[in-house]
Amino acid sequence: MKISDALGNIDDIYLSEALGPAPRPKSHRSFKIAALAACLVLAIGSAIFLRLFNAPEKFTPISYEEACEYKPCAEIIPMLLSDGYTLDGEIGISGKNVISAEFSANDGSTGLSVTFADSSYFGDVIRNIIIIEGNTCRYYADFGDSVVMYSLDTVDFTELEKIYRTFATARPEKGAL
Amino acid sequence: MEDREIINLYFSRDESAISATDSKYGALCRKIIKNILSSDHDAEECLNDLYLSIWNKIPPTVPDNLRNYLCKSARNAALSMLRKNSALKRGREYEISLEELGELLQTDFPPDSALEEEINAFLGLLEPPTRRVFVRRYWFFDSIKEISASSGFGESKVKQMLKRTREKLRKYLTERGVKL
Repeated sequence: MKISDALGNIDDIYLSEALGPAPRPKSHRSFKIAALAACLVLAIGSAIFLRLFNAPEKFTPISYEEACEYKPCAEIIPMLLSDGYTLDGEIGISGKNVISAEFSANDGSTGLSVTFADSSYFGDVIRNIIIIEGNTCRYYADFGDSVVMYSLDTVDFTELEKIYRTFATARPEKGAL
Repeated sequence: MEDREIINLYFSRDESAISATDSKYGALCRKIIKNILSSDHDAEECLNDLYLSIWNKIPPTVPDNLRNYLCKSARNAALSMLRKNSALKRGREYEISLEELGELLQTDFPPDSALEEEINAFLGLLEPPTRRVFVRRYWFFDSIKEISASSGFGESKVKQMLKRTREKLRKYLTERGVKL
């Protein structure tokens, strides 16, 4: 039996689900107004937050070679690339010494986001412990002046632990960012 | 017309059952067949065969869900037509989706491998939007563009969802002792 034959005999419930309309956001006028108001509040709130906490406003794409000039990237990214992850898109740097990169597991099973920054960038977030946020899990590795955030887009403690333990040896040095 | 009324037409051997079926579900069946068979001529022939087959099966068959029953019958009719005549040209999306299944498709599972149950169990583990995208691709053979339009996800997101789901399926089957 081929898998295509087995796929042909899926339960009716899944067939009905696929034939039904995909859930879409409602587009009532009041909803649009509420969404607009929420966006406005969010924009103002974000502006205040960014000003108060001196956080970077946007990331500028930099090449892999440029990223490697920064010590933590030079040490960590090649390790990620050789340990089953592929760089997904571009590496970004902000004017505030924050470097961020997205990776995909080579087997396609998960996505990984890594952000290097000064310790103050992440505020009061709890360090050195796995944090679950919805369908993601994160780990903020505290290196004193610097923090590296690893965020997996699946809840997989084992994989996340493997990542941060492997790369702990490539810790950013003080003033490297 | 309600499905129940259409089924009653079949049971009373009223030939308007076929036109009622075509009027309500013809486009859906045609789309499924057309995704599998490239030629319009072959697709129309297959659709006519399908209607004849449905006419012969109802009664005694009483479909619980006429739409699903027709979809399954349309898919099977098109695939059966392909198997019987290898000279027929396959639909583009059908061809591509088979290529995407890659090594999974190469494996010949034993008839008693409970593969169907495993696949249904696997589908049950997926989030509904992911499952919908997967089924639209590998059951209906819809194009990425069509799935993107119907689901609201971008095309790259759809591709990524499919890639991850295929990988999860491969892992799921391997963990259950299925050799790939």
